[in-house]
Amino acid sequence: MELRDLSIQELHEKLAGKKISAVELAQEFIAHIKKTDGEICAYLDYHFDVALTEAKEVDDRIAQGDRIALLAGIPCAIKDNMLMKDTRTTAGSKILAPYVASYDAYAVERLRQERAVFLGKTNMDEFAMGSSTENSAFQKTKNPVDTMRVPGGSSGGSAAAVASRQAVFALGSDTGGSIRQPASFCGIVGLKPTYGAVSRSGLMAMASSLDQIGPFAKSVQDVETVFEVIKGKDPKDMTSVHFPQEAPLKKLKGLNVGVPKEYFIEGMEKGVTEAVKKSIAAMERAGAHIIPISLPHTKYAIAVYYIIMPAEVSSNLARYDGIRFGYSTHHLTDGDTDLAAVYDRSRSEGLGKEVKRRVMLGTYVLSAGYYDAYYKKAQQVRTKITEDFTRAFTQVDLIATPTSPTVAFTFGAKTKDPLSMYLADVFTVPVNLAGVPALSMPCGLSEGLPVGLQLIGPWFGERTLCSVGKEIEEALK
Amino acid sequence: MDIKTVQHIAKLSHLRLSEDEMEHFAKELSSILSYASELDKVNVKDVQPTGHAVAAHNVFRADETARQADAEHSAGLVSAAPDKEDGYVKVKAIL
Repeated sequence: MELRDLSIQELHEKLAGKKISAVELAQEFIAHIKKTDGEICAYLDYHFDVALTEAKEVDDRIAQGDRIALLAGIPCAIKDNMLMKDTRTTAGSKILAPYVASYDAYAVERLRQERAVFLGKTNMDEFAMGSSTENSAFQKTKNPVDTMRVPGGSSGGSAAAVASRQAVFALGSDTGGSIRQPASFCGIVGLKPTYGAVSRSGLMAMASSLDQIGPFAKSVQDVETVFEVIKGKDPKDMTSVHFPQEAPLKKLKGLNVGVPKEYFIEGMEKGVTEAVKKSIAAMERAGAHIIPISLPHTKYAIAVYYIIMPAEVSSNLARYDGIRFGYSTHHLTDGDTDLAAVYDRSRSEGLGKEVKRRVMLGTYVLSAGYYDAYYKKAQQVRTKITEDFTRAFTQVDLIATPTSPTVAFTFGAKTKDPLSMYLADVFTVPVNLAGVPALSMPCGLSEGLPVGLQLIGPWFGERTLCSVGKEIEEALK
Repeated sequence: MDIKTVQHIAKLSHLRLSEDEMEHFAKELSSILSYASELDKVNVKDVQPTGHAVAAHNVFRADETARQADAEHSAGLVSAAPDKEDGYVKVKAIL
């Protein structure tokens, strides 16, 4: 087995036992990135020199006989919408191409305290708006399983980096499925935590009531290890919460697993349905009770999402105005240079098409005369969607669904029609609207491409999700 | 959505759009909004709107300086501005 295939725990034991050094481990990943990333294009920026310094510091501590944290010396990658002090942070947008962050995002700070080694920043759809990473202003990331296909999005770079063994784990962010769907497309594990479980401080805001940071890794155990480090209350994000002590861990045996009929619909790929049903059958064989349930408002989730999300986007992205950071036309002297012109021109030249589309949509639904018809209505239906989950979790311990109705699609397949791209998020979006946690894990192949099983838990049910996920991994082996 | 509405929304959004972009957006936004009219089928009488997934109310903290390195922090923020002078962000004349 290659070093790059090992789990966090295995690598930790090798490091602590001085079987390998953190510098050697970092060098191994750097060499592999140099060999493969010309084709995969997972990374926007490499931080190799700094990574080797960070690794050396871990080695020094080990040499001194210090006990090191589980993530110390473990090479990782960070989605480029999270700030890392003194490094370029672009969110995949031209408007932030020159921007250098002056502080760390909370999640990054937590990993830094553990002395994880940062290999670089990963590609993404511009400001996390997209489901294929094709909306990056800089490059197209390829799916390592089949390079003719997209890695999913918007955290496509982080997913591709882990899937191609260019990092042991990576951080992504998930507003409507941006961790789970790329994890599903690339055949790895991704966790969207409960809203509030991980601080959003230093995460560039897209839709603040939905955004959540979470980990990607090869296994459920690794994802859980990273989540345990990054979670917690942070005074800089007033919506972050103390993670409550969970009720005793639940096992598959005797577990009530809900299977909602609304997540097995017409138009889904046959191979996806089959792989997910097979893994549900495996759960039943392991002693789970499979209970058919209904989440009746699921069919409205995309419509709700495409009102609430752009509304928040239009407000959050007002800050990119050529004044405080990034790309600006302030230096031009062609006569069209008053303050309003700086705003308008910097934004028009710096923002990409999908971002403009959502800013326009959000501005429209919030504009005078339309607020009640769109925004308030969507927030009310959001309540109904949340109530569906509340009701379901009085009956079942967790819910099993497909992550995405399809496997990874080919480049360009959905870029012509924005609505068809939006509909690809149909099974992931309801989870963000309700704020519950969900895990996507590989559960088989459809025509040779990975299929994701989505496990949805009640609020703060991450530990049960992970424990059951590990059992399913074993059962599917 | 007609072109006039698109022009108005672009102005509110501080975006300058080409004629081509405006035509595209008129079509695309109409199609997305007509999809959103699905929501008219849901009875939301007396349903409270949800603004946030976690109901946090009045989150307070002590009224004291939280950060030792405040000066360094603000210098870092100002340094990111495209145009600045003497530790201030500079903008065009507003009057």
